[in-house]
Amino acid sequence: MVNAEAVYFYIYALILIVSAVGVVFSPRMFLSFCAFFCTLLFSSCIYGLLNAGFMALFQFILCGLFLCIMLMLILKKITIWTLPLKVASVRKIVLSSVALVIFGIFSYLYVSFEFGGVIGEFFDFIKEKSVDIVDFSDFMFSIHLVIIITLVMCVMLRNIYLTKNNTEETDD
Amino acid sequence: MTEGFFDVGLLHYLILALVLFIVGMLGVIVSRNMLRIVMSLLVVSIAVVINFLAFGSFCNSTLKYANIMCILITVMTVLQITGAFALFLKVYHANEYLDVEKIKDKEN
Repeated sequence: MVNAEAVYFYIYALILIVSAVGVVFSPRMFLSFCAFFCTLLFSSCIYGLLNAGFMALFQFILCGLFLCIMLMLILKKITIWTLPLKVASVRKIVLSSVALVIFGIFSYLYVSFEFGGVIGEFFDFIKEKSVDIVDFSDFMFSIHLVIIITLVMCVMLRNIYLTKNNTEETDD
Repeated sequence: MTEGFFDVGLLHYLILALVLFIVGMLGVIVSRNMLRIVMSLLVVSIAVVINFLAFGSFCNSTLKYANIMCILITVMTVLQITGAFALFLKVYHANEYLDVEKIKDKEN
């Protein structure tokens, strides 16, 4: 028997991922903007599936309406509504993807060792702790660390690109 | 963690958040347009919020904490992005472009 929630989840997740990819790789600014709006809309739907209806409404009003209207006005004001956006070179995309995958493996191993589980079973700590009342910040700590390390890595990668590829193709 | 394909559990949401996080980070790294970098950062923020809400929803008594943290994250992100847009307007009026590398070249 197919669960309706699962069907909704897969539909929303697919549209969300496609929209996020569209934000990053769309060739025109207005397409990127439309994908951005879709990302906000369908992420609100995902929040709704997670029993966070208030959060979904809050984000949709604040980001989907307020932020998108503001962005639209800015794009019209500075007349780059139809600005062609070249996608970065394939080498850069491949290098960045490889770096992110390597980073993902390292963060996976880090979380695995941090909680003493075997690789592939490190989510068990959530199942074990969820029986009791949990201190939410306890097991979000390592995820915070991972996020901060990722941001630092992004800044480093950007700096490497900026210093090495100054004379490469221009984007917009 | 033994959900089947049609039993959506925590792992499904975490994988979705991971994919969004990677796509957003890729956008931050490979984009050269300032507006697109900021939009990619918002995608990263959405991934983090999904992560929080998934943990909050699947663990007992933590959904309210997750909601509070997510509201904080969303408000902070929107405030930062609004400030960034204001700066971009200034930059565009000064330079007529929003390419980070061109602006860095100009600075050098």
